[in-house]
Amino acid sequence: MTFRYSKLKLFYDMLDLIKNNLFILFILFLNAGSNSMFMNIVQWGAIAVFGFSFLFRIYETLFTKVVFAEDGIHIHKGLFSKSEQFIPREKFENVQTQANVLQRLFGVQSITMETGEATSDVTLKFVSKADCIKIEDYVLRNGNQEKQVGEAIHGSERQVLFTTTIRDILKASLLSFSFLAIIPIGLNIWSDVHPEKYINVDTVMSHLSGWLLILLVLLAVFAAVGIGVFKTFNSYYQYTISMDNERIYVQKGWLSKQSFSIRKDKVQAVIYKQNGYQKLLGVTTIKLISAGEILPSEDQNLNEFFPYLPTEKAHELIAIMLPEFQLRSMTHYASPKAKKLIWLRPPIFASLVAAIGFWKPLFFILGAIVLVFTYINRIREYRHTAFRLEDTHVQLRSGAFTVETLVTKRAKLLELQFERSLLQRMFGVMSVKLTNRAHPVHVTTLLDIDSSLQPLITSWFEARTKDVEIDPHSQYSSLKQEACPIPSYVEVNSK
Amino acid sequence: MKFPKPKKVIYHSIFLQKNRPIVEVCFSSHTHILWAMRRAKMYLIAQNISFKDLSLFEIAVLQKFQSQLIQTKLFLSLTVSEIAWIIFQLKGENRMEVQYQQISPKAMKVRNLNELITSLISLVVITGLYFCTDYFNWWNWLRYVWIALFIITIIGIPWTYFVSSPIYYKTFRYGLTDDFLYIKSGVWTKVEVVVPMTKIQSIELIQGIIMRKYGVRSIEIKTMQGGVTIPHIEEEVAIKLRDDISKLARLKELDER
Repeated sequence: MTFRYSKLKLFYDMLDLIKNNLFILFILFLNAGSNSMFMNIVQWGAIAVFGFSFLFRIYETLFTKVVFAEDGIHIHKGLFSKSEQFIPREKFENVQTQANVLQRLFGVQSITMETGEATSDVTLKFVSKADCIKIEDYVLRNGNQEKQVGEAIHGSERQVLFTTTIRDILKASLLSFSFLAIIPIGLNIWSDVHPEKYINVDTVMSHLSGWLLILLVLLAVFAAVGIGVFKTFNSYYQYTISMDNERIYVQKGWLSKQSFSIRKDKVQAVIYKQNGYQKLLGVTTIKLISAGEILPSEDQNLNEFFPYLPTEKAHELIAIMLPEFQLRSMTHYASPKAKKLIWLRPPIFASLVAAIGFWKPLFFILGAIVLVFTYINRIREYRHTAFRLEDTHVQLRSGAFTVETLVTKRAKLLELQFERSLLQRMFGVMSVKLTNRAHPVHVTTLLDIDSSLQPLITSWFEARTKDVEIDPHSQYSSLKQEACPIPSYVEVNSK
Repeated sequence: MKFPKPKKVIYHSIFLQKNRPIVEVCFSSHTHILWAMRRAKMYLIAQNISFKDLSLFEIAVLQKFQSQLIQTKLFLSLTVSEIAWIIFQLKGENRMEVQYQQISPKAMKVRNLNELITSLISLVVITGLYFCTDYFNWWNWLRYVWIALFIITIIGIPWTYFVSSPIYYKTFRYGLTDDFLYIKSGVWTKVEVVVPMTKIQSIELIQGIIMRKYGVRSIEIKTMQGGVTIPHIEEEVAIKLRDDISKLARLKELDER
């Protein structure tokens, strides 16, 4: 399959450039008549920059060719100085698509194929929906299952597991206090316009009758709720989690759309996240860790599921999608020896804050608050720390106010680290750090685990060699022969 | 046969010594062992593991139990997966005992010389600053700061010679098996790292001027997370180690080439 940008992209580029530089263009337009030297230079400079960036985009649009070959993607770029980049197919971790309003008018999307390394990510900005599906299919297809592709796709229909209903959205907008968003917006407008300069507030208030005032307040409340619901609606309308036999898809957005898809075996870990407020509501956020970069999003990253998913529903989803990442009960907890450590560790930050109190006495009170907060933090962290080692999986729970439970496979772990500070050694405890592959790496720290568990954890980690499959091509013997075969015309001297 | 479920099952630690399994297990009573065995047996049947392994397990546990050599400290409930893990250990396929090695004793000399040079330079700078304070009429209290720094630097030299360098030399350990790289380091905070060979991305040999004088090299091993450094080892050892690691690290796992 070969991909080239459609010529329509030139038109889109023009509009996109205008949209991005709207502010500059506006200023130039305002000063169009002025004859000052400075403005002239600025105008010509802006026109030059604008022209060059448009030319650059034309160049990119016309002379980019992407070949989707069996072994990987070849990207050909340029006319005068040509470059070719090759990315092997196995390197791709996930696929993300985005469509802003302008792109949706053209019926296209931008698609990003993420690898573990930033240099080899591929982004195509103007791809029709049909092509998007093809590319997604190409990238996420397992190399070993090449032959059964046709059957596999027909055999497993995409199955929708979760969609937000209007009720969900209304509930979410209420729970997230999004109607309070009118306060910063209103303050912003107020500080920009300064209506108190033009109108005398007191005289206006005295003229308003009681009923009119109530009406105005009601109007404000309606506006607040409307804006709140619109905000939530915009980000969570048609929020869909679906899957087929080998992939998981997440889609969301109303005006601008976004999607995220990943192959199930590329999921590095699943994180169950719950802060205090979520715990009160009985909801859980689920996060899928991918080794590829996750594109930044306005309010919530795409690899995190709908934040107002009821806990039971969240567990059910994981049980269906990734049954091996299901949560089970913990077996090991923070050592009771560490109870004293909660009080013995010096509260450094709090004392620093209190030290400022010698100059500004207010900080004494602040220091006291920070101190109390530190100890609550420590107690909660001690209570939450737990883990469970299984034959091929591990479960780690940590965090003070936001409790994070990470479930991952042993084979996916990058490194194991034990740390014992002087104080910890006195009480026979240690910190355990386990690293997961993500972008950047995800480190989970378990504080104050009993030291005598070290051999158990170490040998559990060492047994990972049983889980991983070694790539036969990287084996030394095969590599030696293939990498540098001795040409027939070379005489080998052997003494 | 029915056994009462124990409240607490106790075991201390399990390790292997030259392929001979030593299991330090202590249950609170004999019935509890039988209970654990039964659970293990059920697990084995489910996992299609032969009973030969189980008998080995029984013997090891019972011997230890009868001799009562163990002082138990840790209280944990033994789950099925942990019993399976014990059996896995007893199969003897697992653990190669790690042979930890020390860095070169020349590391002390290199470190001392490094420290001496930096100390001398900072002494010169501090003296210069002291006279500057005099000459340009800076704050008066700055003089005391310079004097204090001067004394600290002076004391620092014998401190590195007699205390910190020997400790540094003694604490750092590294070990290598076919599958993992082990590093132990740290004086105040002791750190132990286990890095799988397949996750190592690149290896670098580093040699500064002072290190060249003493014929030692450092190895920097880079992983996805960052990396670890083995400082100051003998030149031949370093080159051999580099070759060993690069040979072992060449293997890559199937899911992330």
